[in-house]
Amino acid sequence: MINIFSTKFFLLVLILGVLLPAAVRASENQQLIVAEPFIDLHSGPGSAYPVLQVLERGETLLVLRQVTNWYFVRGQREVEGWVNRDQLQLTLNPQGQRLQLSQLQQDDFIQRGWELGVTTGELEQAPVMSIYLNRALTANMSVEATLAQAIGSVSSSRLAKGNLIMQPFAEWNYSPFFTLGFGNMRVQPKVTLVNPIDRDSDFGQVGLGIRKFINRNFVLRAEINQYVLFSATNERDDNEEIEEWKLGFAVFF
Amino acid sequence: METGLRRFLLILLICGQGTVWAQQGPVAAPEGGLVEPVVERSEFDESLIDSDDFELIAVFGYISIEDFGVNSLTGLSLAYHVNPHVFVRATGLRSEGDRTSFETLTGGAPLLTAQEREFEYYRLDLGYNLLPGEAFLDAATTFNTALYVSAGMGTTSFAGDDRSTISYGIGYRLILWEYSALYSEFRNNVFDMDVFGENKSTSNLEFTLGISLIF
Repeated sequence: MINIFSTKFFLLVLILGVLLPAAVRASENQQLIVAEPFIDLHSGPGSAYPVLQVLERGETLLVLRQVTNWYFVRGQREVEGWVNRDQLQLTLNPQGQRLQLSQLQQDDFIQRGWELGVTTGELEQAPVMSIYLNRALTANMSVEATLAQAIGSVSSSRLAKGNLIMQPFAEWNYSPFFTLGFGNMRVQPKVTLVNPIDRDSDFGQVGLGIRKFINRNFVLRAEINQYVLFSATNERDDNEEIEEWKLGFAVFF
Repeated sequence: METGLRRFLLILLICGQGTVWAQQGPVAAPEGGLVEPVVERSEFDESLIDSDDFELIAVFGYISIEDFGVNSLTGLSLAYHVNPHVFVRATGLRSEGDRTSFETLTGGAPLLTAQEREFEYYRLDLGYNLLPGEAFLDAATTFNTALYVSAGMGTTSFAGDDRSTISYGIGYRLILWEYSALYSEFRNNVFDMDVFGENKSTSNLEFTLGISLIF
């Protein structure tokens, strides 16, 4: 039951009362003029949806919302539909200039602040999944934190690491990078094994990889890593070395 | 105190509306008599376009955990639409394994503890809208829909161990209105189980319904 005398309800009305007119005002500014003989209005956001209406040259339209690279517009004759990015670029802004939509480019990726991504691959023949957050310091250098989990047939391991990443040719289409990192790995044997004991070791890691800008704020990433586990003890002389490859994607903002 | 606060909020609301109307209203003529023409220079600001590429989906359904019965499943999914065809999703799901037929028949000691029966599943998947379409409720009501396929991998925590899981499925998405969509999905989740001594690959079928918030 909604109590219309409650403070919460008043707050809600206040928010709606202030924000809604603001939202209406915002969309009023988004007016464009058709410059080509006509532009197509699809029934849905995708080229597979049929063209049900067109807007003719000289008609004005309002841009209401965007889903991926499609824009939902309303024409002056109250017709509505979806226009793709390329066609919307053929309209004029209120000043009569050709509309320039800012397409995110390689440059925006180079100048990104944060990158959040996920990867999957193999760590010593065990499937591994990881999530990472990257903070760019300069165009060529960034720091990164990664959490990963690998599940093998006899044990599963979780690792956390911090990395310094150098990307010397940030402007390349397929841009290589080098990583150097430290972290900790906890190996947990399967419960069905006899006498399972968890093992905890620190490690150092070097790696190299490649990043490819796809579109908008999306990048693909592939990398291979070499880990050295500082696991030498009194009984065992050598440190363990393991290898990892992974593929993934990230969004940057 | 409460009434005072309400009164204050009400005044704020009225003032807020007033400023909005005042900005939109015509400019009054100055006292000198000359009326300056009001030229509205509106700019097209791309950043004001409401971009709706993310979706938060509440998921409810059933999962058949091999040997452990069919159990209810709840979860949360975050989807990002890369382009009209491709989307990526991160999903967390939770269920609970039932007793196996063996446990019920023999009435002996349970195979798993209550904690080990808890089923937790995280996965990442990549989806492809195979058949985008439209559905018609009546002559005036049309919904955009898509039949999609998806595949991914994840981690299942069940019976005391983490299990690497491969997942694939097919689903149907119906966009109710601009801020919400309905989902119906059928998947298979494949992981290895060694609870019964030998290591075997299990297929765990999942059927879910979902409702989303698009933002």
